[in-house]
Amino acid sequence: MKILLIEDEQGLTDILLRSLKREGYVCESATTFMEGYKKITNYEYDVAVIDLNLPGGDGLKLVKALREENTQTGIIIISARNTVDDRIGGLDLGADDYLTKPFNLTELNARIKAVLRRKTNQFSKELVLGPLKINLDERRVIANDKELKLTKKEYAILIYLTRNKNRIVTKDALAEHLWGDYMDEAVSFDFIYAHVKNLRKKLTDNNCGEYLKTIYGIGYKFDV
Amino acid sequence: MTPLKQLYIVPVLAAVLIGVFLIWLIMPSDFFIQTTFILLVSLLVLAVGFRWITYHRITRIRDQIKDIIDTLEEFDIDEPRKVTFEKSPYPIINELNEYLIEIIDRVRQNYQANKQFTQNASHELQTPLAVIKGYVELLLQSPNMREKEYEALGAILQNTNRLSKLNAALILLSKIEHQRFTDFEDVNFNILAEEVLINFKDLLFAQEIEIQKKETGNFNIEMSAALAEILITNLIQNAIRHNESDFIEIEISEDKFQISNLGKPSDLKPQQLFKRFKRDSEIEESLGLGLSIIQRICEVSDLKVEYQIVRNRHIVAIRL
Repeated sequence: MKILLIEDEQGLTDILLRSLKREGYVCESATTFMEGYKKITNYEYDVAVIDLNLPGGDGLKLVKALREENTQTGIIIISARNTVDDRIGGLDLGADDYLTKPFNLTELNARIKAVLRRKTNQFSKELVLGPLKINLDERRVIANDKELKLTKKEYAILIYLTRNKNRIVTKDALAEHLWGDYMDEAVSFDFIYAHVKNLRKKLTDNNCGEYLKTIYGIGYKFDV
Repeated sequence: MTPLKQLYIVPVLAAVLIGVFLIWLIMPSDFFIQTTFILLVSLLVLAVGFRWITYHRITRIRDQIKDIIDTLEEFDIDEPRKVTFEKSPYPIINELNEYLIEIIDRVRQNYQANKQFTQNASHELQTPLAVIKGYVELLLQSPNMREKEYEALGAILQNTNRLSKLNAALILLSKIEHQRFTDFEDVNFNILAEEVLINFKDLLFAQEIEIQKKETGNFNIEMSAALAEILITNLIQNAIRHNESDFIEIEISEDKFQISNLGKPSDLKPQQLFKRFKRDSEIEESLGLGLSIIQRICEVSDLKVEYQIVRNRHIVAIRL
C-alpha cells in the first residue's frame, strides 16, 4: 500500500509519516503544491492525504487533478477549513473523505482503512483478529464461532479499535469518532465507559475479553 | 450666499412691508400711494423670487442627500465594488462625500483585516495544536510506558483538547460577529429541534433525562440555517449540562421557543452569564462560551433572547 502525504507543515508531516509507517504503509510526502502535483501526475498511489492550504496553490486543485488523472486513488482531505462549503466543495471534486484539523492519528488511520476498503478489493470483507471475525458488509461479529449481538455504538467502538489494533485509542478520539462535537467531554467519557464495559462483557462471555485492554486514564487498546 | 442665509430675507421683507403699510396709514397722499404701490409690488416679486430660489435649492440638496442615503443603504461591506457619489454643485456636499468615501474605505480595510485574522487564527492555531496532539499520540504508542507517564500524557492530551475546543468556539463567535453565515432560509424551529434532538438521543437516554415538549404553534424565522442549528444545539446542550432533574421542558409557540431545566442555585445574575467566559465554577468542563454564542446568534438573526431563573428553574426564551 502506497500513500502520498501532501502537507506543508513540517511538524505535522513528521508525525503523520511516523504514524503511517507504523501501519506498514510505504509513504511519500510533498510539502508544496508543485511538488505534490508532480508526484500525483508521475506516480500512482493507493491513498493521497491532501492538505488544502499549500504554498503555491489550493489543495482542492490537486484533488481535481488527481481525480482526472486516476480514479482509483483514495483521497482524504485534511484541513483547518471546516465550513460546510469547504467540505462539500472537496467531496464534490471527488475526495473520499474530509478530516478537520486538529484530528487524532487513530481517526486518520481508521479513515484510510475505510477508504482503502471501498476503493480497492485488497481488503477482504472479513476482518480476522484472533478468534474474532468481523464481516464488514453485513456488520456481523463472530467470536469463537458464535455471533455477538452488539448495539450500533458497541459495533462502532469495536470497528474503531480494530482498525487501530495494537494502538492505544484515546477516549477523546473515540468520543469524537462516535458523536462528533455534540457531546460534552465529561459526559461522553462516562458514556464510552459504559459502552466499552458492555462490549467487554460480551467479548468475555465468548472468551475474547482479554483482547480489549483498558489503559487507565487514557483510553483503550485492542491487542492481537 | 448659502441657502440658510436667504431664509432670513423673508422675515426682513415682511418687516419692511409692515413698516411701509404703517407709514401709508399715517400719511395718505396720491403720490405716496403710487410709489408705495410700485415699491410694494417689486418687493413682493423679489420676496417670492427669493423664496422660489431658496425652495428650489433646498429641494435639490435634499434630493442629493437622499441619493447619498440610498447609496449608503445599498452599501455591502462584503462586496468589493467601490462606493461612488454623484458630483454636486455644492462644495459642502462634495466634502461630505469625500469624508464618507474615506470612512467607508477605512472600515472596509479594517473589516477585511479582521476577517483575514479570523481565518489565519484558525489555521495558525490549529496546526500547532494538531502537532502537539500528534506527538502525544505517538508517545502513547511507544512501548514500556509507565503509569506515571501515561498520567502526564493524559493530562497534556486533555488540556490540548480543551484548547482546541476553545479555539473553535472563539472562531465561531468571530464568524458570527462578522456575519459570515449567509445561508438564509425559512427555518422551522419545531422541525429543527426534533432533528437536533436525535443527536442527543444517546446522551439523554444515558442520563435518564426526558424531553417534555409542548407545541402550540410553529415557530418560523428567516435566518441562517447553519446558525439556527448551532443555536438549538447550544440551547439543548446547555440545558442538559446544567440539568439537575430527570426532565427538560421545551415549549414552542408561534412567537416563542423556550427551553428550561432545573438547575443548581446560582450566584451569578442571568445577564452576567451572557458575558464571555463567565461561568458557574461548579462545572469544570463548560467553557462559558455557550451562552455567548447563543446571544450573538440571536443578535445577528433579529431574535430576542431572555434568560431567567425562577425557583431554580433556568429558563431561556427566544422570541421573534
